[in-house]
Amino acid sequence: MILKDAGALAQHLRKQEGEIVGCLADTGFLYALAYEDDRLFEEANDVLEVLSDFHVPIYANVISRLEFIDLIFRKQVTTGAIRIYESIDGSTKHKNLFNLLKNIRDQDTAHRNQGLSYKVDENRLKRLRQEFETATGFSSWKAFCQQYVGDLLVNEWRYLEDDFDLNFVEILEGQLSEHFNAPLYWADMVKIMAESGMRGPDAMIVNLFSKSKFPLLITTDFDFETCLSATTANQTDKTILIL
Amino acid sequence: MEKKRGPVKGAGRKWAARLKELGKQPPPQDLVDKINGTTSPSHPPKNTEADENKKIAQPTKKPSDLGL
Repeated sequence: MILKDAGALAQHLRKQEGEIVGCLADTGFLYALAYEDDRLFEEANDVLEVLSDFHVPIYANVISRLEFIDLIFRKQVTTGAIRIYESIDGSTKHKNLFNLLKNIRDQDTAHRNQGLSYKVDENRLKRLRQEFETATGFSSWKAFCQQYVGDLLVNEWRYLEDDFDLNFVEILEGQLSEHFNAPLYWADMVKIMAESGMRGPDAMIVNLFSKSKFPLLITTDFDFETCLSATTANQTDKTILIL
Repeated sequence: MEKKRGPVKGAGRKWAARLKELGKQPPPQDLVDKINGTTSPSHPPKNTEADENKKIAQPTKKPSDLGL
C-alpha cells in the first residue's frame, strides 16, 4: 500500500492492531525533519508527530545514519561559509577564498529560490578547506569547524537520536536478528541494483525492508514506489509512505 | 521512569530551531581578521544580499531638476 501524507498515515496506523514494531526511514525523510529550508520540512514533521502519537520508533540502516550525519555536516559548513562571506571585506587579498565563499552563498540563494536545501558538495568542501588553510592556516579551519559543526556532532548528536527515537539496524551477511524474517544477502541487494537500476544505498533499503518485520517505510524518493511494489508484491503487510 | 516508545512530540521542529540558531552565530573574529588582513576588533558585515541588491539598484547619476 502506498500512502502520501501524515493524515493517511494516521488513518492507517489507527486500523493496526497491537504495537507497531517500528518504521524504516531513509535519509531524505530524516534530513527534512531537521532543516526548515527543505521543501518537505512541514510534511516530514507532521509525519513525525503521527509517529509520536502512535509510539512508533524509527529505524534506519547504517548507510542512512552515515548519510544523515554527513548531510548535516555539509549543511552546517555551508551555513558557516555564508556567515564568513557576509563578514569579510571584498578587498581581501585572499581572492580565491572570497570567490569560493561567494559562490557557495550564490548556490544557496539559487537553491532556496527553488525550494531546495543547498549543501556544499565534496569538491567545494575540499577546496574550501584548502583555501582556508592557505589563507589563514589549519588552526583557523579547525576553529571554523568547531564553531559551526563541532559541538553539534560531538556532544548533541545522541540527544537528537534519543528525541527522534532513532535506532539503527546492523546485520551481518546471512544472519538474522529480532527485526528480520529472512537473512540479508549482499547478492540480493546487487540483484536489485542490476534489475531496477537503483543505486546501492537505495537497493540496500529495498532489500532490508522486504526481508524485515517493519511494516512501514518512510521515504522522500518516489523511485521506491515502483521497485518496492515489485519486490514486496506478495507482502500485503508492507506499506510505503512517500512524501 | 521508562522512556516512551516513538519520537518526542515536536522533536523535529526543536532540532530545526537549534540548527538554525547554530547557523546564526557570527564567525570567529580572529578568522575574519586573518582573511581581511586586519587586526581591528570588529568589522560590520560587508557582503549581505541586501547590500548587494542596494548597490545594483542605486542610480548612476544623481537626479536633476533641469528636465522639469
